Amino acid sequence: MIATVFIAMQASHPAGQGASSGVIQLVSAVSSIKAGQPFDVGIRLEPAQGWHTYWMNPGDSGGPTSVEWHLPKGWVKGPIEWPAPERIETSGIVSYGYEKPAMLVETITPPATLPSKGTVELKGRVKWLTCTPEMCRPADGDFHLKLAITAGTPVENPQWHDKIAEEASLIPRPLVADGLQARIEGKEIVLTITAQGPLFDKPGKPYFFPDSPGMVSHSMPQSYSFTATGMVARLPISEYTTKPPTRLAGVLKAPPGDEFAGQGAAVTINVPISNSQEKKS
Amino acid sequence: MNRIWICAVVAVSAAAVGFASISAASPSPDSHALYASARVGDPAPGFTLTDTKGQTHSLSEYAGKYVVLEWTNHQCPYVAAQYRSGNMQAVQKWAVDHHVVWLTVVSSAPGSQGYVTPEQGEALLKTQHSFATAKLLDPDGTVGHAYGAKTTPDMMVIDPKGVLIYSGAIDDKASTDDADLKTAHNYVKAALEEAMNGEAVKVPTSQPFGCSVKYAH
Repeated sequence: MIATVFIAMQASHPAGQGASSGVIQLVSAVSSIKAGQPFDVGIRLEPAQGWHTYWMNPGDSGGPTSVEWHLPKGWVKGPIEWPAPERIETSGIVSYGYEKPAMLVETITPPATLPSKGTVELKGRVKWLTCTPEMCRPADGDFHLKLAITAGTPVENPQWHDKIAEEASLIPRPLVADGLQARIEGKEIVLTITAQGPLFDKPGKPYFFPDSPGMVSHSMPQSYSFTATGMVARLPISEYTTKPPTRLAGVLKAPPGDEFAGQGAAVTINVPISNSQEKKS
Repeated sequence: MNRIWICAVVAVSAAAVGFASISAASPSPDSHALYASARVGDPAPGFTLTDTKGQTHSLSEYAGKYVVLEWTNHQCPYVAAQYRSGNMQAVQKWAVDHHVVWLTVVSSAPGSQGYVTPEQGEALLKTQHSFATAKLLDPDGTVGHAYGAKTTPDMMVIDPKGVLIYSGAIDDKASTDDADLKTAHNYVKAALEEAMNGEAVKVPTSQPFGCSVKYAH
């Protein structure tokens, strides 16, 4: 069985030729599967030293990695689950992505009925863009995962099962808080989080990554203030929109080394924005 | 093409692109500084730059005309898709036919992707079948930073009064795939058409997409 594949990435543009900008590996949590029983796969991105690749919202530049599955009939794939990105700044241009190895996680569900033995081949294609401060390079590669079908208990892939489970557990999940409100004040979106106590152990700087453009500026500074029972974030509205945003959605990352009590180092936020200025008039 | 399944690391192919080290002679702006960005509705920052033919161009000499600024890096996959598909040239041709001044700007630093000498830049205008009025060289990034150009292709449209009326993406697809570009809505052409008809520009700004401008850093 081939539950771990390195994807042969080919430069998809002549300018993409050169030394390797990194490696992509497709890894399955299981080496055998059972009808109707979902399993996770990881797309492990490993940019070469000095290169980075991009989050679902690439920020001021770049483009997200895409995974296109060609699944047999009856098979279903879930959305890509993205780990929290890093803020990557070059010459005042702020991109969101990964400089270190990162794993995208997807859940695949086989159909309810399958033969009780044999193998299945799952095919697809990955495209990514990698950049350094000096250059960008796109590449794509096909993959082909070969898994055994079993009527019994699926067999874990010993090399990757635990690692994929660990990565999946780090994917940001919705913040659980007593209160979560967003409103517009001047050229800022003000996010207020209310909790039972202080949000973080020590002072530090969180960062909010908007999940799409035209909402929060990628490059203008964000400011945070803390109270005994939460936090207020002031997020500058994107310079590339003329309409006030109506929803604040993205990933909020705790200060380096800190975490949201019991909720991990990064959480998702998805709240409507009330336009208090409109209400006043 | 049939690609073969392998269980070994294959590097992304050989042959380096002409790629020298970063020139130490270039001024090195503080990479953490936030540059002033030209905002839609504000007067466009004035500039004087030399083109690939050695001629100087000042924004002030084009008062009374529409001016398009197109940031480019011919090795950036997003730019390459625009030119390979013919999208960029089609909008350029439409614009210059309507008496618009189209200035392509190269703000890549020497040694970075997309940097061109005047001769290389001139040759590219021909091989790309560009209809641009001129290709301006901005190797120290001064004009790019004055406009807050972030990507290639980042696009700006200036009206005859010298006011910035559009800043952002060239279209609504943000793709390196030719097939996507066939159905793209071109924001630059729309802004010019609306302004020429005396209408308000419907989408005066949008998040630019593409490769980051390879500024000196």
